[in-house]
Amino acid sequence: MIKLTEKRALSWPPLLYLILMFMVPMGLMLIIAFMEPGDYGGVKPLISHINGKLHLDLNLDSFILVFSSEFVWQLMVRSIIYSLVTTIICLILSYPLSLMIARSAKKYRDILLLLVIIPFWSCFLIRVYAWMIILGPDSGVTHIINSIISVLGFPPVNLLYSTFAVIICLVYVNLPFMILPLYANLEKHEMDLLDAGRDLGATRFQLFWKVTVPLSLPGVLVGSALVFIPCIGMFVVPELVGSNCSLMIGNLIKQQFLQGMNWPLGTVTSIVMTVSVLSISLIVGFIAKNSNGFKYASK
Amino acid sequence: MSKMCLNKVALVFIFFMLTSFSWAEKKFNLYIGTNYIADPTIARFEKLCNCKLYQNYFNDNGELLAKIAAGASGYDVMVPTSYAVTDLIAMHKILPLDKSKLPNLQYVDKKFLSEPYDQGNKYSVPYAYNPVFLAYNVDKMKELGINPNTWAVVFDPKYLVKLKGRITMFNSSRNVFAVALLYLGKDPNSTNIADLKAAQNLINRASPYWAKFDSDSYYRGLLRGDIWVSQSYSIDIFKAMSDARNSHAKITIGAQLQKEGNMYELDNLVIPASTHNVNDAYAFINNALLPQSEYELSNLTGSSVPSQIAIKRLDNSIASLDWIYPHDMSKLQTFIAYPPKIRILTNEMWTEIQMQCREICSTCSYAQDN
Repeated sequence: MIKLTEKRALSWPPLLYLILMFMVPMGLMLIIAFMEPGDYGGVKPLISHINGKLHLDLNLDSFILVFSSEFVWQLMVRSIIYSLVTTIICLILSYPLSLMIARSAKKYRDILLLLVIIPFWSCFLIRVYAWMIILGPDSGVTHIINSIISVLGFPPVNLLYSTFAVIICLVYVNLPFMILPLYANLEKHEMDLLDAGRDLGATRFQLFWKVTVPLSLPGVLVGSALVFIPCIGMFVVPELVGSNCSLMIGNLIKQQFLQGMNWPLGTVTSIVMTVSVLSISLIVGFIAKNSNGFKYASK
Repeated sequence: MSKMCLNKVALVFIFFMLTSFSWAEKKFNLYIGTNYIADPTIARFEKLCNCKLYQNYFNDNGELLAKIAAGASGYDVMVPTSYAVTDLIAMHKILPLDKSKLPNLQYVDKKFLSEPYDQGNKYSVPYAYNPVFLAYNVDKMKELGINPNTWAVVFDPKYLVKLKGRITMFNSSRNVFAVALLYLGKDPNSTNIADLKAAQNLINRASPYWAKFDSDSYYRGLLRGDIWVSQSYSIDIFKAMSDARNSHAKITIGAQLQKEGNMYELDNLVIPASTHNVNDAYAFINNALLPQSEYELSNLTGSSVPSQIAIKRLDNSIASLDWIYPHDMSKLQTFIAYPPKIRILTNEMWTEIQMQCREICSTCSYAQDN
């Protein structure tokens, strides 16, 4: 039998790793946010000598720049909206699929799950490039859509390099992150509950709405978090398939580090993003925790 | 007993360490843009230094500078563009060159030496250059009756309305500002704030018509047919044209210089201060300056090379192309580094240009008066 102290000792290496790899960079970020950008990238030294006096160069310039510039907020709001829309679409698409997999015969479940996971075996970038071909102006999809809307009297549309393309790709790359936790939850539901409901005269819709949905809330919550949080910081997808009007906050952060050479601005933007994601997650978590289904499911 | 065993294990381990060290190949790290050195040149160098050359790629000089400024090391030779050389010198990140170790510098065309970004070539030697111009879909231009011999094609609403969503411009503030300034008849290296603001205004009004800022994969868009006009590097267009030929694509890509003038990116060989392979670095540069290497580079990648001997050996199908070897070099200019203040200012302008979504402004005046 392992003693408690030994158990604690085992938890030290991962804890140390987390402190070194997460807390230290976070601390650095917080400091850099208040420093001045260096002439050639990086930051200016924290302490400088002016006329023999020591100066501590900390200021709020980057925060003021971020909070006062309109386009940073445009990007922030757009990123949140895109992520919300992506999460909702993923949820709508995943729920029936996960339910279908969970309720299908046991021998098919693994194959069906495998089918969900298979696209993951290829590189993320390749999958986005595939969408660039599918949505390109000379693709069959575009031709079909444009011939339909031209019959209705609308001018042809560009599918690629648009908000539409960004959302499609975001949904596509994030879909399995919604399906898998939902499936894991739905698969564990006890069929006895549904039988009991049916015995008491519930309709199929009532069974779904009053039994399955509340019980699946923890799965919905995990899936939504797994989709929403990575989505908000995404920069590759908007860069590849988006237009100037569909860039996200991640693009700004990347640009500040790689092109703009303004680390403090990039850092402040990251902090604003982290704080928004954290507060949204906390609010949603709080609401969900106080719902009845969640209370029952977590019993 | 166990102690002896441990000693034996340690001995075997040390033996393996030593042997593996002596067998380890010597590595040489080159930091360069993609598709920018010919395979025969690499093979010749590897024989010369008895090492293996590894290529590390960058897309943009900003990326190179950001990485080096952040303390990246391990590269033995880098290939930055003109203005980046000045910045690297100011950052003390590259070594002054000992010309006596570079006898092949004699083959480099004098007109590419001692450029304003590095007077007297103290730190850098020119390797190759890439004119920046408009490449286009030939059939679409004919259909729309547009002659892309002017930058007006990407700035003037007369053209823009026909090309909405079909134009890409570089994802590089220096390049986009430079062509805007050229179009306005100003010095493309201007550090005058009024000039830069005028350029920003011009770009802001035109950018809603542009599909995107892209300096990496724009030529794929040209090849696919969804992009009709692109701000382009000669090297990419050379590749795109040969890809189009090889795949029997229906699309014909055209390219030409613009009458307002063009920029060219003169790329240089420099030795980073952090290298431990200084001798190999000199050997690499010397090999790269050899007319044979410059010939291979130009012949295989379509880069323009600063070596008359190499150009004379080139097939006429490359040497006669105006967008690779411009007949009138006086209309082409290189980039000069901005002072830090101006760079920070233009970077902020650029961030706004890139990130702010703009609607097409129908009431704005597009006259060149500002």
